[in-house]
Amino acid sequence: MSSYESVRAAILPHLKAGDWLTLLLGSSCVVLLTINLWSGDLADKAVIRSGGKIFREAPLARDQQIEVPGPLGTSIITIEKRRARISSDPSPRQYCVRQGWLQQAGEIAICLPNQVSVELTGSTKKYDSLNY
Amino acid sequence: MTASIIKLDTTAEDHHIARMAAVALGLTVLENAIPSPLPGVKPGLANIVTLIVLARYGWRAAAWVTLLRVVAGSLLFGSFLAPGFFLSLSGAVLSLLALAFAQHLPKRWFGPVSHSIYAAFAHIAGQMGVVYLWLIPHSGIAYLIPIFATAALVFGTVNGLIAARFMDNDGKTNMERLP
Repeated sequence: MSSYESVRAAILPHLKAGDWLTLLLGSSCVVLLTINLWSGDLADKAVIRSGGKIFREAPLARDQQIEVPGPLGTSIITIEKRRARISSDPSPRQYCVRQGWLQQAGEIAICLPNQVSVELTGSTKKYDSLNY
Repeated sequence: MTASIIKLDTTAEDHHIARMAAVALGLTVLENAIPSPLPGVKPGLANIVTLIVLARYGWRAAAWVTLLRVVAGSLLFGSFLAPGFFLSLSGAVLSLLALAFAQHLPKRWFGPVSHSIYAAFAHIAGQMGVVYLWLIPHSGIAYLIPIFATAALVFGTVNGLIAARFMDNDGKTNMERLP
């Protein structure tokens, strides 16, 4: 008996019809989970704009601080734990700083006076833009 | 003060559960020596014992063996009440719940392989629940779920097959079992 046949003999008698059904159910579960969770609904990149032009695209996977120059001074953007926020900005009303952490694809923080913005993007975009 | 002797009355069933739990513990120790590419992805060899106990002696005995293995195993590795212990415990409790339902599947069509796969999926569900609610409350862990689910399917199937092979001779008389 070849090794392939002996493996078959070891496995097949122990799989009943229901077991095959379970295997099928389990496999489709795995496939569905993979498609849903790895499709990139979660943001994976921060697009930083200054004066309307793309200043830099930073991956969210690495924690870092980025300094962006604008007409009023320097804005500091922090990326941490797959989230991004504007941690410091020279704008008078500080709206973009108080907006806090951005996490989902499509979320955006804009500092109009300093003409700096951060937008999160994923491979698929659930919303055009998210505002609170 | 007189010396008092505490004597516990143990039944044959107690001894049997203890023996099975000891076998499961041995497999746990063996398994910990196998390096794993990702923390948490483990074959769960001790579950083979749970499956066999479930098939032969019922759910109550299987629950005893599993919970004894989790608690005694954590004492062996010095992780009792540490996060790892609660991960094992939550996985074990959810697996046992899944097995409580899965054991009622018709025996004609469903064998240990089905039990094993359902229990393996329940195991990762329990663990991910604890990880998300307590250890890492961040949606980033969702990225790991497909990996854990694949591991659950593969190891669940393999463990179920091993358990089924062990029980090949069940139901036959001793004469037939002799070569």
